[in-house]
Amino acid sequence: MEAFGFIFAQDWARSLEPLTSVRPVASLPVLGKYRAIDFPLSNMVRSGIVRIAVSLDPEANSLLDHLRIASQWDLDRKEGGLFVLPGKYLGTVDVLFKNIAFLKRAAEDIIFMVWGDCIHSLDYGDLLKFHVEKAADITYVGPSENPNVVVMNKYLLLEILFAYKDLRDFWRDVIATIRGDLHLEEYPKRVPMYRVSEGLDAFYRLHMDALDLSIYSKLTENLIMTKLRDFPPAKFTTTSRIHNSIISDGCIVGGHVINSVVGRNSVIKAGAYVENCILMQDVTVEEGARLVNVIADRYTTIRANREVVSNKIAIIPREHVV
Amino acid sequence: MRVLSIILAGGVGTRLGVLTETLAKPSVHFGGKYRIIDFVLSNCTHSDLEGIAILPQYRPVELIRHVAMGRPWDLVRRSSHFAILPPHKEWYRGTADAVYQNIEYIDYLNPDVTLILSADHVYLMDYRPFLQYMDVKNARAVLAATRVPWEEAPRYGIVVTDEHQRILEFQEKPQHPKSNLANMGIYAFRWSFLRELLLEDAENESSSHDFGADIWPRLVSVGEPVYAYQFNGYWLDVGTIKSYWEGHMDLVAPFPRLNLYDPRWKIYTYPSDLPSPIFVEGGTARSSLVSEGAVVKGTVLKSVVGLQSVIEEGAEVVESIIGPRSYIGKGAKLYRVITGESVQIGDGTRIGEGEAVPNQAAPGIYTEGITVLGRNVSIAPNSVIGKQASIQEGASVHGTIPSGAHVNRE
Repeated sequence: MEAFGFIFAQDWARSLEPLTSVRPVASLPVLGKYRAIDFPLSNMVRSGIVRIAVSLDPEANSLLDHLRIASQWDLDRKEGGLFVLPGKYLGTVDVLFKNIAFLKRAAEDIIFMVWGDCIHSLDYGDLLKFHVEKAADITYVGPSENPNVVVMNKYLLLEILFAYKDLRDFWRDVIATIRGDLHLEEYPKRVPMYRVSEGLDAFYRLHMDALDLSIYSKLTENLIMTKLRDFPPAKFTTTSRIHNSIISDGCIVGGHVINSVVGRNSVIKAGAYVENCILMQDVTVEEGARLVNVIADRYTTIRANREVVSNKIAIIPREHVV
Repeated sequence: MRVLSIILAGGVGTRLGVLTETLAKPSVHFGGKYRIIDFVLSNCTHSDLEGIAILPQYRPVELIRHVAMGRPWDLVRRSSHFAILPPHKEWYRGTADAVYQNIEYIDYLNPDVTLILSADHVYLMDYRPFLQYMDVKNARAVLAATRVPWEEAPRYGIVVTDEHQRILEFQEKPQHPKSNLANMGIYAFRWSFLRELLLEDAENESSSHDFGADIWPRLVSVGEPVYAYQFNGYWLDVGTIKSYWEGHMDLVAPFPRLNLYDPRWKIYTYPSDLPSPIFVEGGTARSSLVSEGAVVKGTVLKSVVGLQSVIEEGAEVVESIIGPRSYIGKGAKLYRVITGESVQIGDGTRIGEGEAVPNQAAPGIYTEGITVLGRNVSIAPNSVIGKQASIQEGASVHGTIPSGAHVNRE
């Protein structure tokens, strides 16, 4: 494909703390087995983009670890592949401007810019075709004030960058200023799209919406690739009761799970009750514990017979034992 | 000590009936997301073995694709060797001949020891103590053996040993076994020694060129000191429909004898990039394994559901093994059914009803009341199929199929 990818993954997203005090929003665990960035990465790879840069904060250990084995997204390439661009960036203009060398050296002319917290499954090949057919300067997907995907020619991008390098946000500051001079096209939104950095409600809504099979299928139809953990299939014991839930590989479920998403390698023991919850990965819910409207981050444990029942969403931070 | 592991993966698996019509036994699906060969390959990874040669023969295509040059097992290293060696001179006449025909390759690597493994078994084993055992006994050849129930012993190659584990006698599938120690098909030989044995065996016109039937009995008869290493873990010879089904029922048991959840001994397989299974519209599972990509709207009980399979509303799947990408229609009832890959079962169909009668085509293969559907079988809505029936790969079925019937594809 005559395009390369650029994923903005340097943001931590205050609105999602404490989930994002330990990781940038792009490495937020979503839908049981993924991290947010798996979606833009997989969309690009499945659409034939083989040169992909990811800008990130050098302190983003969880994201660096997630991206460590590029072969998991088929990005261990002799030509192209995965480029990690760490830096303490001030905004997307700064990200692009500091990595002008990468932009210039990329063999392809079209750049796909995607924010690392955008959850959707989209054929970027169709998007590129649309962009070319419309002869647009810029094609975008998602809200016009804050799009999820931006497609443009890299030479146009370079020109704009040099002219506006002192502004902060590429879209809200730069493009908003000059959009009257450009031919912008909005790509019709055909698939469910989520942006987890919008806040806890958006993150929670993504998961509850995904319990609708038609939305779940559309979100995952591109066969989203992620870091392999090689767990066996989910196991359900003689005491398990499941209702309207997603249960990931490596889980052992002996309790009652209702309207919830359970991440990889979690254990829900007999007599435990989990309703309207998001359990990330490696969560243990012991016998008789009761969770309602809870987001349990990774490596959390809910001790036997404990209750976390909340009217609005309660968060159990990473590694906490309740 | 440089070790080359040679994995014999040519098994036809005739006693797996319609499951192996176009699939070699090592490629047969197991445990929802695995194939049988995953176990031996994962054992090699965890045993830090870096030279691997796989010798397929029967139906090698899916096996070669699945093995993907060893990458899913982390077996790709600059310092390591990974090779797939299908017959390139003539069809392998036996297990020993398969190795003999690859002498050139083995000489090129020139290992100190060749570890001969089979891709037909499900077990978790560290091969390093076994390899050390050869030094402990100061032997040129050792094999691994495991205790099997006495009543099962006539199915196996039986090893008779003295109190020092020196092998005194081999009994191949004996009617009256003298021991219940079964040969696991895991052998370690000094390469220089095995090389001589293979050259000699190749010249022998009365030999069937098989390790179990020819090489080992000959070693014992000439007085070579050879020893049996006793392995005490779970070991399943996935040789028959019965053992294949029992192996899966082991997995769904509350405390499975085979532990797939040990973080130090994960079983690796070809990655499938599928989303987590989802349970909707009343779908539920108990005492079961459900693999990635599955959609469960019905009830799954004491069963294993393969990758990307769909269990529709009102369907009941009991004591069954559903192969990958299969579809179980609305209100279908399955009792003790094994399906291959991509089987379509229409709405309202019932399978596993009535009395169990011997299968007309192969009464020894289809037992325990289990009905087996080969891959790509399609069953029309509202059909009724009895127990111990067998449906050939790709067949389309509608109406009533009595217990014990065998249905061929048209």
